Amino acid sequence: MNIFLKLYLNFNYTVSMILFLIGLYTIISKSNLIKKLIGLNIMETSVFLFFISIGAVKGGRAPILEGTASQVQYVNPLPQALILTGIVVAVSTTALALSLIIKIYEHCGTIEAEKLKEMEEGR
Amino acid sequence: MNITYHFPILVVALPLVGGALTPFVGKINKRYCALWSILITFFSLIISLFLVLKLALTKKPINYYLGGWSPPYGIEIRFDELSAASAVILGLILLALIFSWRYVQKELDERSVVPYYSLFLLNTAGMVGFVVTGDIFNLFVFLEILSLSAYALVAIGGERIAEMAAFKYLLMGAISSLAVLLGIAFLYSITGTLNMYDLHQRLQHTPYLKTASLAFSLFLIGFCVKAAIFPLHIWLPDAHAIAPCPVSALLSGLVVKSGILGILRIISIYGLHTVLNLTFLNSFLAWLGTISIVLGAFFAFFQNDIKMMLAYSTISNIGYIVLGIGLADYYGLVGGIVHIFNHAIIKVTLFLCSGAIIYRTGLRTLSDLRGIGRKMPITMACMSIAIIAITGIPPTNGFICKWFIAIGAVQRDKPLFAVALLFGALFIFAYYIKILNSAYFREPIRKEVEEAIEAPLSLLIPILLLTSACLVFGILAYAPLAFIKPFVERLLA
Amino acid sequence: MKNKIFNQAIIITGLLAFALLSLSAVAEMPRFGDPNNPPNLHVVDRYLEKGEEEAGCKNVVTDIILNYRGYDTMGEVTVIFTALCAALAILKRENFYTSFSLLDTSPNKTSIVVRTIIALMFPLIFLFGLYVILHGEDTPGGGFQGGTVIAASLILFILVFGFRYTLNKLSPKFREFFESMAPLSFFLVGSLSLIIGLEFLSYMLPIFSEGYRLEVARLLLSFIEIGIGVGGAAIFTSLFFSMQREEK
Repeated sequence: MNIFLKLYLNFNYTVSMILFLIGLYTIISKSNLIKKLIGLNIMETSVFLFFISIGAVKGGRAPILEGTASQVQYVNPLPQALILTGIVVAVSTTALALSLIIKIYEHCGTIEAEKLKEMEEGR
Repeated sequence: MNITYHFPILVVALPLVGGALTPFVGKINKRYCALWSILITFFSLIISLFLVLKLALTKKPINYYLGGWSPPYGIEIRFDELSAASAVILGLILLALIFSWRYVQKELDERSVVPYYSLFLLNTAGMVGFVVTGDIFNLFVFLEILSLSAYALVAIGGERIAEMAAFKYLLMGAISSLAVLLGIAFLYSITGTLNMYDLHQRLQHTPYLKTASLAFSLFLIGFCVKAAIFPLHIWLPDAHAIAPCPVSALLSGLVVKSGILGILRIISIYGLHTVLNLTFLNSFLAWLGTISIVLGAFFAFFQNDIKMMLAYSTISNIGYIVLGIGLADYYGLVGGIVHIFNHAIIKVTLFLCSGAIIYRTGLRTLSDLRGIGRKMPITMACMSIAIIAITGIPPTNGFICKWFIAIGAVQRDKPLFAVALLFGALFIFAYYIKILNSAYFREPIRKEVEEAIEAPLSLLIPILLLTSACLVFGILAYAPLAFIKPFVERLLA
Repeated sequence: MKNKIFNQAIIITGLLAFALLSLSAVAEMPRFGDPNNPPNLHVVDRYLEKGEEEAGCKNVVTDIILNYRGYDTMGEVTVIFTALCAALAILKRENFYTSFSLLDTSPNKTSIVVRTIIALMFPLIFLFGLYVILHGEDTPGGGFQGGTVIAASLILFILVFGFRYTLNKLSPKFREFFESMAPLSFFLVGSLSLIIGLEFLSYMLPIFSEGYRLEVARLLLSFIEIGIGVGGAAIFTSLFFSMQREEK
């Protein structure tokens, strides 16, 4: 029971790990390319959730300085800064993947991975 | 304060801003893009060689604090012996760009030429930034720059199979980048810092062992996908075979090496002894490497298309490097790391030679290319020397690394690995004999081969330079070995 | 059929094994929300204490992304620029004669209600985006955040009014200038400090007297923010434009 209590106290981390695995399952087992891309986005969101939750502080305020910093408890601003970069990277990957999907659809007429594999083996 | 003080950042910033300005150069005139990218890479190469020389003379890593903030409050650039790979990267890219000048004019759609050079320069900036940085989140950002441009360069040919291969590469690469980011998150949560040297200090005394080992496994999975180590290598054959030839050279020679350099960085953060205690790295990496060697060599033997053959050969040689690193003793590590350098030169030579052949004849399969040896003598002679190099016969540069890895395996009382090494070498020898046989000792059956003439000068010059580099570094084999020695000693201490 | 179930079983077993490993590591991690866990103790206290006097902004996140870790943000804008180059390499830029959206080819235009409301809201959303870009220093906001709001307003406009109508106003030539602004603004500010002799991307330039240095740092930060914001907006809009394709 001890481990379940610890997992409950670290609730954000637990949920983000579960979301990561749901995203990974979606990428592996769904056949439609767009669904795979959505699975990738779920995985990315879970990693961002994980990273930002590291910086949470109970009772902390947003890191906009108001006067003296030593009396007010602030949330950790560093993970937020890093994830801003991370979100842009995720958007870039999604944009590139969508461009590839558009071209694949133009050339092959389908975006189902199984049909594409058949086409590739047939050529 | 003279300009040489700022060289560590200029070696990254110059290709980066060059890539950002390439669309403007392209608007002035499309033909200037090639010259522009060659000039930028040339100047970055000079800066990088200066830094390597300074490092070789002083034997201390060069630090540069961006924005003036000392670490861990700011990002630092730490130019140590692994960062000397930036000189290799820039040199090989310069030669690939000289090769691309004529090649992309003929093979690519003309609207893709300007983005091609832009992506090439951004990929360069990504790789150089990846090897020189001293901050782990910065490592991730530059890993993404080089990965995204690599995905796009695979698809730039425009054919249907190119886009499917690029999509497969993108999915696996994106998952691996996320694994690396998750590993960074775990490390940050238990240490609170992102600077590599600071992380190394803090990880020695951390009480959170399970988290640290999970972070290490995530890093390993992420970088193994990027480096195409068995069993996560399935994206590589399609992606490298279908991309245009200079891009294949870039990918096989340099981008997969960034995965290996990432593994080396992570091992140096954790410390080799911690890693050997934390996980079963002791034999795990070595076994993966051996399976890659045998598998790569085996599949390469049965391929008909030269570029597929070279792609599987890359998997095999990455297996050698990983075997060397996995043996975790002096000879294995030195052999493995120097093989990164030597294999890059040889593989780029091989891909550029096949590029010259494809440029002149348009054919890629061995059965079509019979008799090409007599029609394109210089190209095939260079290819033969590169083949001798990759098999590991002295006096070429492939020999010394494999010799060192074999000594390392024997010293660690694991002669099985040395046997696998020999087995791989024999297989490689066999299939390259297939290429030479087909090229020299058969009669041409295709019209394009009969009408072929020698490749133009701008394609031949990079090939000749690279072939001479293979021979030079085979004779002067001890130069890179002595250079990498301080890094390995620091790692083993 | 049996093969499929077998595959699914293997996948789920693998994922469950990974779940067990990761959850055991998560249980061991420092507690969520603990003000004394390692990340909150080590580097961040200096950012929170001396952020305003060293880096110039009350918003500590902007301090970090543009001043302390500006090099990472330079990498980030390079990533988004790479994505644009990649999309243009694969898709090729849109052409007035060959690309069009479904709205251009259908006989009905968008409903008058939607068109009126978007025509009224679009300038307000655009203005809000500009506000978010310019006010990144002392309030929540920043370059990229505002850039995405502007791009979203432009994409909304394109969706409602059609591709060809907006292509005339936002031609590729007009957008090409703004696309490279993000990496270039970083490089300009960085070279400024290189010329003076300090490290790349330093903002506290000693050529100004003591009292003005903070103002100059804030000015340079605003310059970079505008560059990132406008550059980001142009890149997203160009990405959306180049993806306009008609189904055959």
